[in-house]
Amino acid sequence: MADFSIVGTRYGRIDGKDKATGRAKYIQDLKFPGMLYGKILRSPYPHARILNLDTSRVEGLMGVRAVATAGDTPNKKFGSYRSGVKDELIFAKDKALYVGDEIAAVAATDEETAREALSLIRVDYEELPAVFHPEEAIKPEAPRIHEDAEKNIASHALTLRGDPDKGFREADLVLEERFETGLQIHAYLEPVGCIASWDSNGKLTIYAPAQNPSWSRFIYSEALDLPMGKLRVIQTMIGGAFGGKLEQKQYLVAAILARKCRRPVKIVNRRDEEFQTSMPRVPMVVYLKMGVKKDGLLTAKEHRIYADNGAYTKYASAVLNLGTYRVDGLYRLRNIRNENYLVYTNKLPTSAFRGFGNPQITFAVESMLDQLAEGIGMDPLELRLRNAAEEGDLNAHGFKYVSCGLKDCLKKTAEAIDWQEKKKRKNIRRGIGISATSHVCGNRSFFPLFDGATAYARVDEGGKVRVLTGEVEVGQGLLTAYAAICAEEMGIPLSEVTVEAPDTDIAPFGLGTWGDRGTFIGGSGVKLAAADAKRQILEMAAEMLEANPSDLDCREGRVFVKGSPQKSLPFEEVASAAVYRRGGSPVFGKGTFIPASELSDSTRYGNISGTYAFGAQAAEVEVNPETGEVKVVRIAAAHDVGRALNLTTTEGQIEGATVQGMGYALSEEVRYEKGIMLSPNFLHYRIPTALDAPPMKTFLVETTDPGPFGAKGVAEPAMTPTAPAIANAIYDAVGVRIRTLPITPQKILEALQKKG
Amino acid sequence: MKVTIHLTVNGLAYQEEVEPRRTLLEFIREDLELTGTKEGCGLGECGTCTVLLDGKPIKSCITLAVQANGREVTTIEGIERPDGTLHPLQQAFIDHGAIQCGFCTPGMVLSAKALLDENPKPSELEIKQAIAGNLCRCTGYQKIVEAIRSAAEGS
Amino acid sequence: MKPFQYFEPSTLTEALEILHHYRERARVLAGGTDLVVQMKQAKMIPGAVISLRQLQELNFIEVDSGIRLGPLVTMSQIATHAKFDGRLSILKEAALAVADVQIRNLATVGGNIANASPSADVPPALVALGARLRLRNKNSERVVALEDFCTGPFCTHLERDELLVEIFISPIPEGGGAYAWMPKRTAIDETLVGVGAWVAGEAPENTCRRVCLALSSVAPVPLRAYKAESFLHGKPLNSENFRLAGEIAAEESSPRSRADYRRALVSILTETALERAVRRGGAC
Repeated sequence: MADFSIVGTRYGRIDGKDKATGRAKYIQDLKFPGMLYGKILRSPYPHARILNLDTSRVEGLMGVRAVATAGDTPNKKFGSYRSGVKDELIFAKDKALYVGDEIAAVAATDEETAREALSLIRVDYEELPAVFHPEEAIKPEAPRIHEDAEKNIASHALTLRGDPDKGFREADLVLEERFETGLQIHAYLEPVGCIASWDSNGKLTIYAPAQNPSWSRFIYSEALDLPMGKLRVIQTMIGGAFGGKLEQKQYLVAAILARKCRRPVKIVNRRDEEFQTSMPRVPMVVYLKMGVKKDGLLTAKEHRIYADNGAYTKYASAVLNLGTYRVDGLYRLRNIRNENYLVYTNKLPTSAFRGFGNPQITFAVESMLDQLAEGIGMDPLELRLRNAAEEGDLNAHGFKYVSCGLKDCLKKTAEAIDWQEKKKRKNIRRGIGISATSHVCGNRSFFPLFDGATAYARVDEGGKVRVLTGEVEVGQGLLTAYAAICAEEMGIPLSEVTVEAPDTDIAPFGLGTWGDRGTFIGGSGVKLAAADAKRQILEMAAEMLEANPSDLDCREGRVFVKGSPQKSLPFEEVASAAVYRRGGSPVFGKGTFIPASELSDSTRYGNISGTYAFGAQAAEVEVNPETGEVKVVRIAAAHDVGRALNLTTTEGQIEGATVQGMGYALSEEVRYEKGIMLSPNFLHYRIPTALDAPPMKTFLVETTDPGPFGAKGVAEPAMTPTAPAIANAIYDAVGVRIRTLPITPQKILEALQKKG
Repeated sequence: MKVTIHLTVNGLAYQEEVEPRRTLLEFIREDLELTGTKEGCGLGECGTCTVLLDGKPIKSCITLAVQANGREVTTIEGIERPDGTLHPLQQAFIDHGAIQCGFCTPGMVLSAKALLDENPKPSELEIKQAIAGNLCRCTGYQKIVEAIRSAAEGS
Repeated sequence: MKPFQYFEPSTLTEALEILHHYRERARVLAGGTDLVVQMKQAKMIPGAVISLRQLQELNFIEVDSGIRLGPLVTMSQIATHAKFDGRLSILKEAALAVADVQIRNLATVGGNIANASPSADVPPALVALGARLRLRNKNSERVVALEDFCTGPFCTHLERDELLVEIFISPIPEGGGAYAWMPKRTAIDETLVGVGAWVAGEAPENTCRRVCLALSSVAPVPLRAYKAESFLHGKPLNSENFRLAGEIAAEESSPRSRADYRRALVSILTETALERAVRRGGAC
């Protein structure tokens, strides 16, 4: 193991003090002079024609400064980047397609006036029949939601690898099951908000907790018919995102209002709006068929998924068509048929959420793995180890596993949960289950022009280093990781480095935080930038010390001559010399990292990520067979992270993701009645509390990886195995298998009663 | 018609006129411009608006400002020492990785402080019960509990 | 929230006078944990709010041969009161079933009773103890049994000009009590089913001399499981009889949703509550 002074330890977060003292400012805390407050009028019907919209009564209300409707927008349809579908408008014009669809908006001097103004807008609707489930919506007799989408199909894709029919013929056991997962709401604690402001030259600035400030501008540019150069996004501190803070319609509405009244406009979602209009995890119905031989070799896998797009296409198509085949590489499957239907429904549009389709499909596959194991009389752990991917594999979809710690992860979690012991001694109420996962670290398919990251490291005359990145801190500790990478690379103390949240006018174009790419890709860019800055510093020091730059190094803030370390200078002194002797120019390091990934072809074959992350989790549960109550006794999680840049934040990511996975498995459920979300609040949408979270043991499996100091991503994969591990543990405990999420006590009790 | 209230916030005495319908959260964030206390849901279901009222944690978004008349309010801004040193809980949160996005942190720290002020050596269960009304979506709570335990041990 | 007239009377007489004047246009503010939420959601739009903040004489807990609680006693006070231990733990358990510590620090027992939510926990526990309420208006006072007080979800016999001024149990019946409950989804959550049990046994076989079962969240109001009580009366207080009583209580329940599941829980929780109550002092 190489000797690092910062990387791989437990250094504190660089933003920790601000957050612990209440100094950290989020969008809700910002206020500008002359700022107005915006509120959005939303459709109360899931499917309705908009016959008439009358805002005349609003204009007279004191305090209202602007009213906006579809007439104030370019009315150009736009869509999420690369989804291939453009089905959205800023304000619904002819039809409202879900309860929550934006119809109009007002800006006023205070929130109460804005709310009152909304109530004065008269809209005449003609209610239309609506449909709420993808399997219903795809029927020929279902109401048509978008004119150009027959059978409400937003996308259909079929992927074929190898010969699945042959694979099924060769199997000794073939199983077919139906699984269903539901809406999962991100439930980040900070509601989405923004402040939009135009300058006198027609340039728009959006202040917002944006996960992808640079490229979200593509969408805003199209929707507003505004050149990219006139669009600036300044990322504010983010209070949790998990994939839910990508492009927001709200920002466009604020922009339209702000343009109309020529004043900054702030809009912040109320929590019920958050639930009703956020872009939750894509619900999927998965028909899964898998085959296995007596000796444990998996021979074929076929899935047919009906995914719920909601009323408009956001990232659901990518979630479905990219996210659901990561699981195929876990067990070296070669014969695969994946058929994906993305179907519109009259509900809120679904989109990206940590795991990006992986949790949904992995729940199905990993549940079935246990069923197959039981069917051939093999231990579920053994079946997994028998088929597990290894370093050097090229999977059926063209993913190159340059590093892979999957088997280690499986073994470690099994050991931590006392797998062998527990399997021998059966306790009637307790059970253990295991599950594995594989994930990308970045995804080439998203942005064809490049997949990578650029960073700058700016050293000023005081010797302080400022890292400029286009990637985004959502709470995961990214800025801290970048500061550590930079400090480690340059040989200076962590305290000398700050990392700026992106302002798109200044920061490099960054693809943002998603796809588990922040550390592996963004961090690599930072390392290169730091190396470049260091090179320039050493060149300056070489002059000052009369040595050759190649004979110099920097450690703990001192530049010294290797071999005669007493010949040294403080970093700060070299930096100030560099600035002053070069006409005031700061030392500017620049680094660009392009991972060894490739664009996939039209069949989605290709090595879309520079490296892949693996993990496994095991859960022990106690089920009360009289009440169906499930208590998660403990969870062991082992993730192949390459190298953990910061042990604490890496563990924190795994622990947080696991508890989200637990909520997904057991308690988080959205209920609808006639298209209206029942109880859109935290009282009824239950995320785990401190009393629910189980004790978690985390193992960081380190492999040799091409990432910065060997690191790869962990944030996303850590959420995926939890639900299936719990489902498998429940089966182990009481012998019932629930194939729909969440697994509620009621479902367990009913299943037990049916079992007799 | 406004009501005059007298209260202490973070050790400073205030006399203010408020509308009876003003919530304590609005008063703290907008009238006093102390934005450390957050609004996560507005209905008292998430805990990010937690402040201490006479040392006891309450949810300020569902408490009227007039209810704080004659009482002492403590917000996150009020627990560091006058010389800027952090309260041991704040330091423990930083040291133990109990902070990720930070949005739940102010409320969480105050709930923990109220616990330790009353029960300096809480059990793990008591810690979890004390913070059960503070939702966190990022951390999974494990490191928060560790931080609180560590601060308790250090005291 | 819509604006309202605000009053902070300094005496009970003053409070009753204002209440008399405003009647149905007024709402009383104690801890606010129900009222303020309802006002924020525009479920309640009172013309006047009468705060009891200054009437600290309404915050008292007296425990001797009987129990007397003032309406402003908070759930936290009940949950931590030294006397609500042993056989009186039923009150502590019910108070701890209420939400979280922040809510409990402000939520009052009077507010909880007057709000009459079908899923409230403390009222059924008090019903199991045979609690009675003292209601006062400008001119008169009356006493009502708590179990007769609720008429439907969020509806009570409280007249618009009346204030609940005391909750009393006199005397504390022999025996012991327990409150067993299941949350809806997570550990801190609304109550899915709750059972308050108070039971007393007599020698020589520890047969049931007195039993009171009050259920939460399985009917529009706290439900007395009379049939289960009748069954148990005179029978030995053992597991088998608890189980049978539980089944009868389940049949008596009429939950609005997830009926089968809730009934199953009534059965189990009744058994649990009875067992615990007997252990605590319900045995002879």
